[in-house]
Amino acid sequence: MTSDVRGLTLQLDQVSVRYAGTPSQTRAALQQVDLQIGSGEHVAIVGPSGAGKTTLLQVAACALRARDGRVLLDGEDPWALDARGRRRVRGRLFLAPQVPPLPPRQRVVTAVLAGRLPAMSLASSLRSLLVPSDIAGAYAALASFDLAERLFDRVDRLSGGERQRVSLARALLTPARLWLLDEPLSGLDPVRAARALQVMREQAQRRGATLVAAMHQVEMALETFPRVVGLRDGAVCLDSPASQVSPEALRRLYAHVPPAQQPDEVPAEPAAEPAPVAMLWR
Amino acid sequence: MANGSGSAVASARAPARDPAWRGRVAWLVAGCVLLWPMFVLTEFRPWQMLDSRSLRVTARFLAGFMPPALGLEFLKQVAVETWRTVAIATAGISLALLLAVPLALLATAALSVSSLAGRMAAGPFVVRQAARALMVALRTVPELVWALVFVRVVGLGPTSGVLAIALTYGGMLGKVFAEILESCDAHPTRTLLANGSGRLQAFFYSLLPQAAPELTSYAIYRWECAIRSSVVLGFVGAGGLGQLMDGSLRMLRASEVSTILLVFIGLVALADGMSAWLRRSLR
Repeated sequence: MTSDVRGLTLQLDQVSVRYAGTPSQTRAALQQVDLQIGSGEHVAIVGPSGAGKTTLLQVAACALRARDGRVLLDGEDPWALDARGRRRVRGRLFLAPQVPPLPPRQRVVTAVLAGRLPAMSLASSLRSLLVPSDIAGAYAALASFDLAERLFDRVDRLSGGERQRVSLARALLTPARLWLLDEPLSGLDPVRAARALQVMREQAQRRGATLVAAMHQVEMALETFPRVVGLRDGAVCLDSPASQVSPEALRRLYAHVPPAQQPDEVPAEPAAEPAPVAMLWR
Repeated sequence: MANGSGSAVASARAPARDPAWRGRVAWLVAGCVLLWPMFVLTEFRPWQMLDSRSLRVTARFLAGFMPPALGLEFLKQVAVETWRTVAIATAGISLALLLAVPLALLATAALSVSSLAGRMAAGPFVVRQAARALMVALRTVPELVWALVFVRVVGLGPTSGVLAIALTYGGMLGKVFAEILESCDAHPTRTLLANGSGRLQAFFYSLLPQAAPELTSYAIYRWECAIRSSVVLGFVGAGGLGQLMDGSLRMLRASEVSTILLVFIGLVALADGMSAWLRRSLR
């Protein structure tokens, strides 16, 4: 089926998300967000801390249910499907969370090959636990992140940045056609960060996958991605090609944030009280 | 919150005390107030064991146990019965694991897909509660009672002991396994489930690597408890060291009893050492 090879389209219609248990006077995590991402597009989502970037990615990944509004993946609403259909939809997307989701005692080769689980039967995945099914594939994926020699090491022997790269390397083995990356560059030095972003974009392009990355590094996002979406206080306040984003728009995006929270590239604003926000980290 | 660099933000004063202290002190006082009458009601007076009369009685009682009986015939008998006890415990625990593992996987909330996006759905919740209820029912009845029932059904012998251990320990192992799985870091499992992998795949690829030492050490601890249970079950006719001890006690041969007890302590120490070694090697 050609839609299996094409990247997924993502559409958010007036999506509002409020975490259960938040007091009513704090604002919702996402407020009437409208977003349209076409097949194979590469988009960066930027914004200050607490703007709702993680929430947006989780809603797109069907890992969080929106209180209002609709999420459409390739034109279908995953929450209108039964559990089996939703599992099928989840198998077509890949979410890389902020904290690398790697069990400490597992070996890197198994952790990377776990990306292929949605496409494997239970029997072959159990066999792969004993004898890794695709050592060459895992090796190639890790090699693009300069981690090939750590193939058989345990995850808890890796540094934070290395774990982050292993978590990204999983994407290269999934059958997914929508890649959602939450802070993919945390723990990486600038050289490695640039290289990792380049690898992810190349691989997504090769597979025709849609790539959505939420990141703090505004400068790198503008350099690397063709389209940038700015979130602030749970609402979209910027959505344009990277070349058309003005410094003025960026300043407005990050305004009223105390100096310590702003990225270096944006000129500082006088500090004021930030609005209270309830966040539940995953 | 950023504070400093001479900005216009007013700095808040640190709170004077921990907001939770009232509740904690209240629980502590309530606990003490509840415990004191219990000691009084149960006539908890341990100092009575240390007066001279009871010490003399204790000394006479203990003297009969030394030296332990070391006759060759008796030791051969003890060896055979030890083997039988270990076999009963091992067979019982193996059956219990066969029962407990599927029930634990069914009951644990760590593998819930519907709770990825919010509250657990009603159907899966009912299934999980039913599995928990089954495990409660299995472990409520003491194995001694099960053994007495099975002795009526299958007759005297090790089978009744194995079945009794299998049922009771199945319920215990299942409950604790489910809770160990829930106490693992949920993040890797939830990520795998959110990316479309199956529940069993998520179990093998993320829960088991994290929980393996805990699960193993609990299973071995229960095996050690099963050895103790099979000694007790021997008193109702299930065979093994318990039956031997029952006979020796009836004939008032305290030295034989002390041999059996020493073998018994050795078995438990062996189980303890094995558990420690396995925990170390799984780390």
